[in-house]
Amino acid sequence: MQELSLSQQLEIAANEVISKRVFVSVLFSILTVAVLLVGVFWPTVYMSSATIQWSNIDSVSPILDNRRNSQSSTISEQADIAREIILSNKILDKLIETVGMDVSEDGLKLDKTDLQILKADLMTKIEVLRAGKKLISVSYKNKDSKLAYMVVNTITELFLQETQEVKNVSSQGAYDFINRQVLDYKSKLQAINRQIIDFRKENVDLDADTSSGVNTRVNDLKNTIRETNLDLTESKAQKQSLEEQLVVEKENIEKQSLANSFQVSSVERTNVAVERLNTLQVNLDTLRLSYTENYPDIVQLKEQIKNLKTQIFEEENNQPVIVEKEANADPDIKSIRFVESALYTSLIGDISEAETTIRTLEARVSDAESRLANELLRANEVNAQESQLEEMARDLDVTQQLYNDLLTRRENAHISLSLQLENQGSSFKIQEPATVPLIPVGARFLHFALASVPIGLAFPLGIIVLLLLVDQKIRHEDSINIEGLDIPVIGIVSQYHNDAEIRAEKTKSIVAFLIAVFAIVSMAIITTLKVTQVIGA
Amino acid sequence: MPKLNSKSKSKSKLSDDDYNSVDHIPGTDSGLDIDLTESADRDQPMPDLVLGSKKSVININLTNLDSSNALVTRPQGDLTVRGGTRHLSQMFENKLLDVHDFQERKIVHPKMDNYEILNTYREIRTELIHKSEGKNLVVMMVSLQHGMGTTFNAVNLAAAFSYEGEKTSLIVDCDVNRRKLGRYFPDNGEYGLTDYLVNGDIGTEKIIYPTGISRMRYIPVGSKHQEIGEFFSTERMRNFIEEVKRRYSDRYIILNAPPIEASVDAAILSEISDFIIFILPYGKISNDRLSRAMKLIPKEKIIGFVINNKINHV
Repeated sequence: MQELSLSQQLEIAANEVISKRVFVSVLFSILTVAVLLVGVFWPTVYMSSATIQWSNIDSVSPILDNRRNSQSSTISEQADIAREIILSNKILDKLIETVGMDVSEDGLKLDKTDLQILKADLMTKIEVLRAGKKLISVSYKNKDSKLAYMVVNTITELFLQETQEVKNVSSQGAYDFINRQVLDYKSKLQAINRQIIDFRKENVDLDADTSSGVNTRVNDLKNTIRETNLDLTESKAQKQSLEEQLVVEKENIEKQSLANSFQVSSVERTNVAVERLNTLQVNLDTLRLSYTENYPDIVQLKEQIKNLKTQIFEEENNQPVIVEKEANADPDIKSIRFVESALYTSLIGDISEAETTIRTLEARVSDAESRLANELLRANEVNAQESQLEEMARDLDVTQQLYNDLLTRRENAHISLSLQLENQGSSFKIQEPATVPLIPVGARFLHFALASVPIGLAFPLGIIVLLLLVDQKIRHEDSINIEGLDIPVIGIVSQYHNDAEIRAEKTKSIVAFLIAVFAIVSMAIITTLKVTQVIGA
Repeated sequence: MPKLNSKSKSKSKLSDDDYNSVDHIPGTDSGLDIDLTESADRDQPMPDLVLGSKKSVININLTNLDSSNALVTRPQGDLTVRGGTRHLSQMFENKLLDVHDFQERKIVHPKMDNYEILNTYREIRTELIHKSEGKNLVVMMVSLQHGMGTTFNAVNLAAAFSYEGEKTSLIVDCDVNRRKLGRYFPDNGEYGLTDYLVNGDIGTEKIIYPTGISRMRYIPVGSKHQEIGEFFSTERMRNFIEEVKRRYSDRYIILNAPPIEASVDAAILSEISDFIIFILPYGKISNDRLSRAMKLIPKEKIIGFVINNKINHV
């Protein structure tokens, strides 16, 4: 269908409205007067509101933890918290009591059910909302402006008291907790300190005998053993070679046979022994210069000296016996001759010396080994002690750190608490106190008066326009649309009124006008009565 | 258009009373006929008439009178002897409508204040004359249902034809159930169209009546008869139309047809019509309904729509 232009549609609508002018007028009158009457009896409601400022400087969280950034809560969370507190039974009970709402108009106390109803009513009517970045608004509506003011004023004060109390309690609690912790750690620290002192007392040598010292000694001993063993092997090899030489010499002597046999005087043997004794004595004196009496070499030397002395003594006293004995016991063996050989005697002496050396060295090795074992044991002991001490030192360190930390926080807590007690650190403050509202809120008579005429006009006109939109009847030649046909409009005949109809139309106009005038006069009367407060709420 | 309906109803009653109370014009004989007509014309001169051509107007009127009398289908010599006398006397028993009557009956007239409506019908008339290339024609006025202004438009178009000096118009009421034309022109005789169609004895002269508007005649529906639709499709109806058309070349015949949705007569009548004008009431018919109705009548004969009763306050 060909769409009509806006002006064509408006023309059609205007014609329709004019032809239905009585309907429009009647509806206009009814609506305007009705809206105005609603306005007259519309209850006036006063709203009092206060603004609470919230600062997110929390005095409790820094006490509890000054290193971690405490999760800063948002204003809407705070508003929620404030709402919870304000609408809590405790606060509402206090409010009802303070404002005196628990007494009915008859001066009687309200019973429990009525109180519950009153509280439920307050809960829905007290509005706690965020009102900006740092602001929370508390508002309450009531027909009585003074009551509205009192409720808001009281409830904000109660709210601040409550939060302050909670804060004080929590601050004090936090301080006490920190303080206890400080004392606790202090005693812990002292205990650890004492433990370390005791331990050091018990292990005095620990300082001298460090594990590294022991290790050095162990290594030294191991080296000594290794070196001594080398010496020992050397000495044994020497002794073996000497013995072999001795065997060779013995054979040589035997080859020289009987002719060369000669008597070995005992005096000569004694001289050899004395000579050796002197050598040993010199050695002993040398050793004594650097070692104590119980040093194994010295002990060994002493032993040898003692033996030699015994030998010399025996030589001097029992010479003939021995010779005799030798001669008697084994006459075949020409031992005296062997003895009498200088080389042989020298070899014997060397062997003996080598044996002495071997024995000395062996004694030294065993002594070093026993000492090594001791040192190894000692090393274990030292290690254990050291780790124990280290642990204690660590304990001390950690405890010291925590203690210092706690000391700082206790200081913070102390400051916070002091601030709190002086009300300086409170996170809620009354930014704008409640006032007695003078102008009612919401729809007022003025609004209804202003709205009545537009509403009165819009409704009937709207209905007509809506009907025209819904009713797609042909009202204009351009709206004719018959498929496949193009029949022109050859004439448009306007309404042809005869005299009676013209009179009727005039009557309609007059009636519509009078009704509208009646409505306007009624409105004027109602408004006057309302303004002079003859009628209305 | 119930408003208009009721109005016109009451009006027709009023006019009936008027007619009853009107004194008959005295001394009406054939000699005075011409003068009367002339004076009537002078009272109600056509706006497009030139004063200088008054004589010719009179002549034309004479011819018109002649021809209307000739409808009687009798030799001219018998004019005053038989039915002619009766007819003429009947005719002049009606006084011509005055301005007030026009206004009350909602018929356009040259002196009307709302000239626009008159012009609309003149335009339609011009269009029809143009379409018919000057020949006389049969126009059927039809609508979807009763109360949509078919009769109103038929009467006014006929009146508009009659206001053109040379032409006469004949409006034929074919709406057998409503007889609405009678409200505009109260019946004068006992016979009407149905009587003519049923009874072969009745001549056309017996059913043609004056309207109170010069050069405009009308044929009422007539008595009630069963199954009149059959009669419209008879040869006699066709012959009747043909005869009227043939005899009076300057006569325009306007058929006031019953609504399309109410009877098949409209469809039958459309066959004997030259043109169809479809009356489209303002704000009453949707395109869908119109489309459906259009299928019932021969589209090629529809010369156009006339939007009726347009609300025109602004």
